[in-house]
Amino acid sequence: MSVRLRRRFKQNKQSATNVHDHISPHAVNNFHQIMKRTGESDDILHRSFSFPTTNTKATLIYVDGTVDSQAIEKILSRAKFYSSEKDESYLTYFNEVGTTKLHTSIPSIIPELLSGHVIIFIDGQTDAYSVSLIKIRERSITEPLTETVIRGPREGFIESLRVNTSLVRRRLPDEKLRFEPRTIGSRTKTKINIAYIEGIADKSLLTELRQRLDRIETDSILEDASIEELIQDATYTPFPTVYSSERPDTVTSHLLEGKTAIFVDGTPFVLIVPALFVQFFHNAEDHTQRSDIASLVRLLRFGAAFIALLAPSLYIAITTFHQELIPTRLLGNLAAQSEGTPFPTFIEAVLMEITFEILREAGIRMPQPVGQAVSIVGAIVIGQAAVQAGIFSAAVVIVVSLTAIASFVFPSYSMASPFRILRFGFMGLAASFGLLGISVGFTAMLLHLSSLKSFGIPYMSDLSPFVLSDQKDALIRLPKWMMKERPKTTDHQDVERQHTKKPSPDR
Amino acid sequence: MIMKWLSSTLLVMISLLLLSGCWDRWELNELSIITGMAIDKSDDHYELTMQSINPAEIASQEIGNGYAQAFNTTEVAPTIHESLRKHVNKSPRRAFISHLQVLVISEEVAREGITSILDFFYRDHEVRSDFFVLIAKDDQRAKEILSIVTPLENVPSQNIFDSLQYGARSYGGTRIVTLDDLYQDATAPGIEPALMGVQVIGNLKEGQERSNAERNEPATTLLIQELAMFRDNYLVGWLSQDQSKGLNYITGDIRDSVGSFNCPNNSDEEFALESFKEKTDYDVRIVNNKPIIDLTFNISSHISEVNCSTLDLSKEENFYLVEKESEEQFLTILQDTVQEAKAHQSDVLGFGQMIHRKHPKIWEELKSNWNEEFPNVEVTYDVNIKITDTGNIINSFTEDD
Repeated sequence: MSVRLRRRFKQNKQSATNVHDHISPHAVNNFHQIMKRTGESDDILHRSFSFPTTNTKATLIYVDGTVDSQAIEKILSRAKFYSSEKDESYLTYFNEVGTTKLHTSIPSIIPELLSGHVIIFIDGQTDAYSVSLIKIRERSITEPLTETVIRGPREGFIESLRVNTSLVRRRLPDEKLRFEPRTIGSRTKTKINIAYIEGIADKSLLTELRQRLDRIETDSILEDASIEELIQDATYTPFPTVYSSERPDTVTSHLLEGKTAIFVDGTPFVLIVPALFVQFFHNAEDHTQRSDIASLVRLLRFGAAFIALLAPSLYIAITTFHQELIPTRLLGNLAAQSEGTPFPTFIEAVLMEITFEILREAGIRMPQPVGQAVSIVGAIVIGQAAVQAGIFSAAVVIVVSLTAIASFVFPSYSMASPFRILRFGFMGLAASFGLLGISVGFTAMLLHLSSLKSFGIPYMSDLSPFVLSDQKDALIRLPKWMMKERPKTTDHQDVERQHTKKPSPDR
Repeated sequence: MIMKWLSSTLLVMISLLLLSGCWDRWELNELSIITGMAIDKSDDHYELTMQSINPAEIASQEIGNGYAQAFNTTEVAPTIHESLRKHVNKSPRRAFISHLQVLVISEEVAREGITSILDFFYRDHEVRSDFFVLIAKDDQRAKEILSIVTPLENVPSQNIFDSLQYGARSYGGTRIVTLDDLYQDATAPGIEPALMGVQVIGNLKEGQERSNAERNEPATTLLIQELAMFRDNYLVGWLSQDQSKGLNYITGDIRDSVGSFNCPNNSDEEFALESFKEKTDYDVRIVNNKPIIDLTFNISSHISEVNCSTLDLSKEENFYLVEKESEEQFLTILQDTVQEAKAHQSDVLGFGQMIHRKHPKIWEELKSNWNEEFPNVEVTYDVNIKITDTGNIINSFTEDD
């Protein structure tokens, strides 16, 4: 094929598409054109109607289920009262029902149509109106499943971006609160909002975040986790460096501390950056309960984290390498339990842990939230039977159960996972090198944690580098009136938070 | 690049875990937990008896078969460590001595010196230095002490350990000497170790039967009392029960004790004092180039029992009378103790250390000949017993009440 021929072919094809891109003065033709482009999809409907005063025919096209059908009825029923003599343009007419835009080509109409706009073609006109009548059925606002509190707001985010931003806006009717739009995903065209408070949020962090979001080139973003994986700092780490929350109050309080939130349409989780290690041990409840109990509970969580990470490995190390550390009577009891058990302690503990992990996974995939309770019961029953059958020693079952319970204390599920993974590594180290192995492993873990960063902020911030004033809300929580300033690690601009004096009766 | 790095790291990690093997790993059911040891003499060698516990029988759960709770083996070897490892010849498990609670040495061995025995216990890394060291009194063989089935705590080593520990807290007649203390007393100049004596009371054969623990009144029990005195690490003599208490008072090792004294005005009747606060101070004076040791005892106590028919405790002056009476009687115990130690030329009281601390120069002169000098040291006593109350009642009920 010669070059000329090919060029002509290309030209022909181009002029042909150009013809179909134009909006035909015959409204029905446009409908057929659209149906052809969308492959006669079942959910695209059309309604024909006319304006009686001018006797003009029109066609209305929409995607069933994405638009407000009552509004459509409104357009149709009011058409008979419409008169062009009253100097009323079609644009103002449609604007009364919904935000209306004028389009001149079919390709620009399609995305609008598919995202819940009603497209109206009027005979004799070569442009089309798209009226925004989006109404997607959405879940009602319910209590968040993952971050429950005893005292505190019970609202949780839902799958709609707009509703989610409104929940935050309601808590923060501040002119400085910004929602910056983005659309990511060449096919999903997922709407994303970057939320921050102008004047509090770190500007360099915002620039960094925008860059990272703009760097994403993908066809689909279905939920927040995809965004998280595409923008996080370190990939080869079990530790999460982006925080996600289902609670509007949590997001609001983080915004007020100078952090930035990422709202993603279609998911009830909102991402918060930067994320610090200690933050994953905090919970909304910490601020609704009195500071003394909140502090103690926080310390308890850190303690539980140690148990979840190290209990099985410490048990293995001490009972197989350092028996002199156990009080004599306890050693007698432990030795009695291990009489006649066929496996080394390490094998026992690993088998028991794996059994528990299987039960736990099964429990989560079970249809009801009771699944979790079932799995715990299962573990205990299996453990009990295994002890009676003489396969495992009772102490191992106790240690594994304690570890399992401790791992449920994490307020953030994403922080429980690294501890779950590392636990097995520590068990291996303990079985090979005893306490020496555990301490080497722990040091390595600390070094790794200290090297992590979340959007330029050291992951272990508040603790390392140590910021004394930020300790008010890190490992413990001091009373509100003591927190006069925002955390220094995330906010450098508008540091002052309040002037409230220590509460006391007036004299 | 990353894959290469990752795979090499993984390789190193896996080989670290696998090639290192399991170092000195011992599962609990591969260990024989030794809680008691006894050292006797057998011809030229030491005879080492090890008492290991049978965990299944000890545990609180009902998993045992009703077998004996302890298992004793005796080995003879030129060194203690070798006899310890030979234990496995008679037992299916490796001897593990970190949980050793008592070491009983027979008097025969102690009279020939304890230095050579203790070397192993100081040197070995597995030994924890917090077990108690005792002497099997008179002709008692040390291994026999560990062979008795004792009631309550069936394992004799545990029985001795608890008895000593709680005795020191409530009576004061026993003295806790761990290996650590023994090491210090045996090596430091100016003090000699004093070790608790232990003996079997009753019929030995019956005591070794399990039926011994099944009776309300056991045929055989262990008796822990009297202190063995050493000179240059050789056993030289014994302090009686009262003298042992006196020793503990002088060295300030009393926490809570009860003592009986004769009533004022009537020496046939007694009253008891429970002392709850005891402080001993010492000072050393040099008179004519000779050291004089001043001991001051401040004891707070309350009257815990009164059998005196003529004593009226509702009157204040009678308190002073009781104080004075008990002070005098307490003084005789102290004097007796010092006398006994001097008679054996054994400075278990640590007078040499007192002189060393207060007058180092004088000590330099005395040090070389201390065993001979020690009996010549003069001692003065200042006893202050303060009675704080009389318990829940004031006077005893009398017959006409």
